[in-house]
Amino acid sequence: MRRILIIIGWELIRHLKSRNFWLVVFLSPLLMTGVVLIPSIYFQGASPKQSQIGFVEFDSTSYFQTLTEHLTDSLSNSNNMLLVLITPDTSARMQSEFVELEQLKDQLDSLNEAYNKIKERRRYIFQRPDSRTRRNLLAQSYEQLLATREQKDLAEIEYTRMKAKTDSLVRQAVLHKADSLLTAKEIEGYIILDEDLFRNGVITFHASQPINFLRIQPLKQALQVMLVEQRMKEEGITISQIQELLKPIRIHEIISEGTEKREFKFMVTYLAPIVAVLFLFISIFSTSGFLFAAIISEKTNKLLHWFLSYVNPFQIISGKIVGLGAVGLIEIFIWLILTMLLMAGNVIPARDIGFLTLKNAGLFVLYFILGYLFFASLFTGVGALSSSPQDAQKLRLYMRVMSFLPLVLAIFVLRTPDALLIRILSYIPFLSPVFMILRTPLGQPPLIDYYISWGVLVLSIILNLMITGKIFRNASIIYGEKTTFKLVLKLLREK
Amino acid sequence: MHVKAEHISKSFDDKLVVANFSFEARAGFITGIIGDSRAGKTTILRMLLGIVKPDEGYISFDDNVLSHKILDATGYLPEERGVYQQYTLNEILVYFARLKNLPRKKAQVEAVRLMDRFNLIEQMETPVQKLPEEVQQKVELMITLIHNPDLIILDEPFHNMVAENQTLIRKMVQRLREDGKTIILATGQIEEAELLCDEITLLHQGETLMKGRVDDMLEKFKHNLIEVEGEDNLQPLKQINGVQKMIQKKQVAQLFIDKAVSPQKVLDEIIRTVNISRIEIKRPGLKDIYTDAVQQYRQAAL
Repeated sequence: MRRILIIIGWELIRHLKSRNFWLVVFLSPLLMTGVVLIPSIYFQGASPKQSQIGFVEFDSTSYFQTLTEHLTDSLSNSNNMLLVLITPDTSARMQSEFVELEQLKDQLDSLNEAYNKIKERRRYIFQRPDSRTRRNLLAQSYEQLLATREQKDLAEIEYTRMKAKTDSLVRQAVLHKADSLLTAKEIEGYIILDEDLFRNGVITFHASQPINFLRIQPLKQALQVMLVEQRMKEEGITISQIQELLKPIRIHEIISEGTEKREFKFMVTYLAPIVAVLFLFISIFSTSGFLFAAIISEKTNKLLHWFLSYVNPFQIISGKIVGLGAVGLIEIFIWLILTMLLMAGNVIPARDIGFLTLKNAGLFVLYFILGYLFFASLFTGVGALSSSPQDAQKLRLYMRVMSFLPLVLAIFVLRTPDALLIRILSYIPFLSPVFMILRTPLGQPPLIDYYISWGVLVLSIILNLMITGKIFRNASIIYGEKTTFKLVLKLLREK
Repeated sequence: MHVKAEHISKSFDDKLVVANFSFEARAGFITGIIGDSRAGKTTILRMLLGIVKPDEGYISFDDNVLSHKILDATGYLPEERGVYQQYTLNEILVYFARLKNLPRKKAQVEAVRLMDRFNLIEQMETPVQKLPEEVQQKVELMITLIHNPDLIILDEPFHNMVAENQTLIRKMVQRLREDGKTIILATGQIEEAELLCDEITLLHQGETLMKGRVDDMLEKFKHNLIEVEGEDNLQPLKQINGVQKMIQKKQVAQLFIDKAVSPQKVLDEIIRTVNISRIEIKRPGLKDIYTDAVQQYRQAAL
């Protein structure tokens, strides 16, 4: 026993002193943060600058203003879309056209005014008692009225003609500007809104490349609301009624766990277990990897024969496995303390993450211990088999592939945490720890699943230890033989 | 410590590696287990240390079976040996001393004492990989001796050692004998064994060819040996009266002469029979005895 303690102490202190251990402890949370944050940054704002959507408006309907307000309302903080009103560049020629149009408008207005004045005056004269003067005045003003109307009609024709001309010029200029902004990638796309199209409910969206539908969705919603509002207004419904009718729906997602019900937040609910599983994975495979490396190094440095003359294989194996297990537990406790500190400092929204409970921390430690013992006992045997550095290299590759397998398969757990296949897979000792830790918060694994997984793990650990012990004892008779399946069988047969 | 092995045998995969081996090693003596490769030397040592269990036979240490107490009093230098590369000399020595049940403080004291004896105090905090090859070999010897063992088992100690360390081992082994330790030395370097060992067992392919005190063995095989070198066909020398046996290697023939016949007479006859370029009268060494025994074994096997 004393000797086992000495080996435990040696492995523990050597690894706590090693740089690799501290790299794993502090780099993996950083790495994890990166892994978690990068996709969310990507989804939340693909491009660092806000994406701009152009808005082309004909006729001064002031839809732009309304739409911007709706968009801001519906998307609040996560809105990363900016609407920009596209106005035409005004060339000198267009400027003069505008001036002319303005003049025509002024002229038309003054003619209208004059015409109305004459009409007013004639009404006033008309009210006087009949007299000669009255008849004269009426005849005279009638002449004036006719002349002014003639002038007014002519000016109106002139104005309409000019207006049509400038409108099409503006339209062309605006569209030209919008297209050039699109080509220059200043905007992601633009919407054309004019009275007619708007009335028919058809809105055209121009983009240089297929645009993410989810991104356009809020814009579509805002347009929809605006359209309905407009139509209601026309039906004579008051603004306050409209607001009442169009009150947006909010969806609260609630998860029921037996009698307990709590709000479901996708990112927190999924992210926390994924992060936990990644930590479990790192702790199991960093420590059993350290163990594997230690065995390989002792094997290549030819220390094994020495050890066998000091202690029996059982003492070597248990000393090493327990020593490195302690290293792993220290790793986990450092992470747990860091998590608690972050929870206390409110960096982690602990209340939202129902997963962060003492019970689950216990489960985590338990699955670490079982998972670690399983892989450690396996890796020790495999490590003892290697008879040359090349051999060790090859075996290390197999081990690495094997350790990534549960993580790759974990994707299926995310999709259907309680499916029959997943349940069966989580009884396989290789996958058990990762699968069960992932299933715990996502599904509601029945108690029997926990019991089976523990039972299978414990049995496979015992089996592994028996095989490993045998390999370890008999590995001393290998003289640089290649590691083959036949050799393993030979070692196992040997008394 | 008195080590005794009685009729031990071991097979791997139905192949007999050690057959009916018996020997004794006593305190104050260097006992050699001598043989070429695959003679079964290492397997015998592993059986002594309990790493491998014999299929048959019995091993005792001062009339007791192997125990932790005995292992703690044993220093073993394996043939396949190396040291941790990344840790310091001091760390390694203390660790191995503690595995031999030395308390922490005593382990540290012994480590310092040993490093001082090997003039390595200044390197005590140096990682072993930064030490030169010959120093690393010394570390192997230090690990074997740090707990001041009563029984020292050395498996091919001269193998791969630099000349300086080979001399060191010879001196060390002799001093340990003077200190009354039991030393078991397994080697294929028969000349070294002849110089160092008091008693030996000669092995070939797991079989014991011969065993006893080295002096007795040399005395027993003291018949005169004449070595002849010449350009001619040396085969006619076999026919000379008094030549019991001839071993020829290229143009050198070793003639084993009947003790009853005067060497002078045989010499005259040799000179008459062939043209010689060199002739020498020798006493056979342990190596000659071993070579001869192996040859006899092979003939018997045929």
